[in-house]
Amino acid sequence: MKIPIRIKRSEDGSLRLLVGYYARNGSIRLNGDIEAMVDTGADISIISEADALVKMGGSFKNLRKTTRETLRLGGIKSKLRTLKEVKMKFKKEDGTAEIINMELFTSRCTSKKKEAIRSAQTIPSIIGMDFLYKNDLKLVVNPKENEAYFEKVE
Amino acid sequence: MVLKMEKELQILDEKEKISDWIHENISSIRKSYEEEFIAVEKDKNIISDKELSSLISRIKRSGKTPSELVIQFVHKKGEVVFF
Repeated sequence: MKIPIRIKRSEDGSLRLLVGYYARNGSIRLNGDIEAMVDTGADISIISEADALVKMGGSFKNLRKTTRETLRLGGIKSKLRTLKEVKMKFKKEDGTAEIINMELFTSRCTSKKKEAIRSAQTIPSIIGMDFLYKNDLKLVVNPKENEAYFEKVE
Repeated sequence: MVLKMEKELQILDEKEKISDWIHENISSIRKSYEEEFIAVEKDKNIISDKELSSLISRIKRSGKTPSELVIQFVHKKGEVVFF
């Protein structure tokens, strides 16, 4: 089973790994497509503040705290909350769907300063190492061949 | 159930196309929307605002659904971003 990842090169030559999935969790009224950046430096997978604002009908205040309450990302401090188990639907290489259920998190900037809130909202959704570990997946990246994908570890 | 699944995969395809278009055209997009949030529709029409909450309100006021658009922030040219 392979889930393709898009390799995007920015103007300065830096590379980003992007993967789309459809996210659903009825209890928090989460319903919509998410484009996430694959980041092996992140230990958890998050739906960004911006994506949560747009794709989640439920209120951030009603989300449960986790044992890990704070997120520091891009120099910005945010409150971390669990979205519990989210149904993530990916498009596989053969065009069919792969459904992965796992706990995702979201965040909300703690600062009242406009600039900090704005910066927090520019952070993308992230797929972190927990996604690989919990789902027995490996990440294969070959930028020269423009090839990247998740693959089930047999 | 199968129809819903197909519809969701179709949405992923459509959004991927819009996202790829943004990446391919970022230089020209940046000329008009640097350091702004943009919402791009299927027909490549762009709505923008400096604040995300204002952008979401503007989309709703125009009778559209924010989740149906691709919303991204246009970083400054040369800005290195670490997450």
